[in-house]
Amino acid sequence: MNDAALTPRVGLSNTLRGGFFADGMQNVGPEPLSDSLGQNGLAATIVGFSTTAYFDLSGLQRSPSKPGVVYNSIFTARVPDEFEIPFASLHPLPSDAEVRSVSAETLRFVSCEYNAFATRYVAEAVDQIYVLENRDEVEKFIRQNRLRAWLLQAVEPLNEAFGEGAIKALRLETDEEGGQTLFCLVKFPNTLDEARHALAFFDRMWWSAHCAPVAGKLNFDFELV
Amino acid sequence: MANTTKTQIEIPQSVVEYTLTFESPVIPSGDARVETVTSVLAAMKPWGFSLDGLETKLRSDKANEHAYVFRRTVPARPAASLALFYNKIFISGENLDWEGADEFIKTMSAGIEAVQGILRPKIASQNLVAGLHIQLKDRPTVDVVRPLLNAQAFKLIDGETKFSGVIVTGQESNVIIEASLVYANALWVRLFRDHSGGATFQEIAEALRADEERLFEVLGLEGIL
Repeated sequence: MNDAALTPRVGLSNTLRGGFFADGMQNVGPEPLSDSLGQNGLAATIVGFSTTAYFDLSGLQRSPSKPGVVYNSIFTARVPDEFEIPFASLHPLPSDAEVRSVSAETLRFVSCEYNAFATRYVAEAVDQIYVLENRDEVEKFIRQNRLRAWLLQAVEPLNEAFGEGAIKALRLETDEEGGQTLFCLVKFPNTLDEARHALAFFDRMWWSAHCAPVAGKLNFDFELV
Repeated sequence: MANTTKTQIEIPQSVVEYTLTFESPVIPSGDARVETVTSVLAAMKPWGFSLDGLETKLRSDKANEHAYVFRRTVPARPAASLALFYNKIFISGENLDWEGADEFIKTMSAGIEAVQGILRPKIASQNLVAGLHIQLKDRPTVDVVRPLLNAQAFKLIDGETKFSGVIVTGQESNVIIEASLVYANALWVRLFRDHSGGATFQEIAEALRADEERLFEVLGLEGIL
């Protein structure tokens, strides 16, 4: 590997570094990806590398991966908010223009792949718990505002307050000024008093201590059914 | 007995799998193989099938696993594929709706006809399976399936019933209703139906439509199929 030749061209030692584009991994939430999801992304990314002119699978070595972090000798991908790609070209280094082209393509590919499974990652866990109204919009809002972790953490206190069987719907509401809030509406089959009591219990037990970081973006309420 | 109150639903995910089984295996010669692949690609091209989506699965030691798989690439979603084995044709479609059914039927029929025109297999049977995740918006799934079982069935367990699945087997069809593990408050329904070798793809689709409508009627569901 010729670090000296590569360094001035990409502006970073022997590592490409970038953030995820669009509304991808950076919006997944505070916790890292599971190892299995990481493996999916790793496999997809290796394919991307192997299609470029200067890398092939014979150069791939993996060091033991840690949960939530995918490592190998050719590139390192850290989630959720940045990735690094140490270059380990197996062939003579290409021209300046080619380096830029390969670098750009690689970053684009990695970003797209993580974007794709970040989307699935957000959707799958939330889908198991909540009934989404206007699915696409709600999923996008959750990703963009990093609400996934809050929604997952809220399940237990919600169940404790309203009962396990209560349907929990996610509805995006827009106010007069265009601001949007994601409402978790618990469909409650009992009386209004009981619903109010359950919501107050939920507020005291969990929500009041956790609402600050997502104030205005996420809220909880009930609907009598 | 049909329910009188309709429950609003959404189908966030579905899959349809169709199998056309040959009476005896057809192992094409080199020329016929090339001609078949070319003809199928040409027939299905209008719906976004191209060489980019063609996979040749010929490395297995087991001949019944050898296949040419044609995948739709433009657009890649909803996913659709036709796989040609030595003893069957297997078609799969994800998240299809009845609005796009005509196009799907036309394309897959064209693919099947292309195979039949060259390899001339005798058809032994046809089978269709539809799997639907049906998410209920505001009514617990247990309430929807409860009327399907006699009260005696609920004595099989002690305590509260969280869900009760159903399997109904007919002469040519089966219906399996379970709880979805993927979506909250959703049913995972599979509709199986065998068809004669002479049934057209259009007739098979109409039978599926009738099965779905019957399911909705019996369960008292309302939403876009």
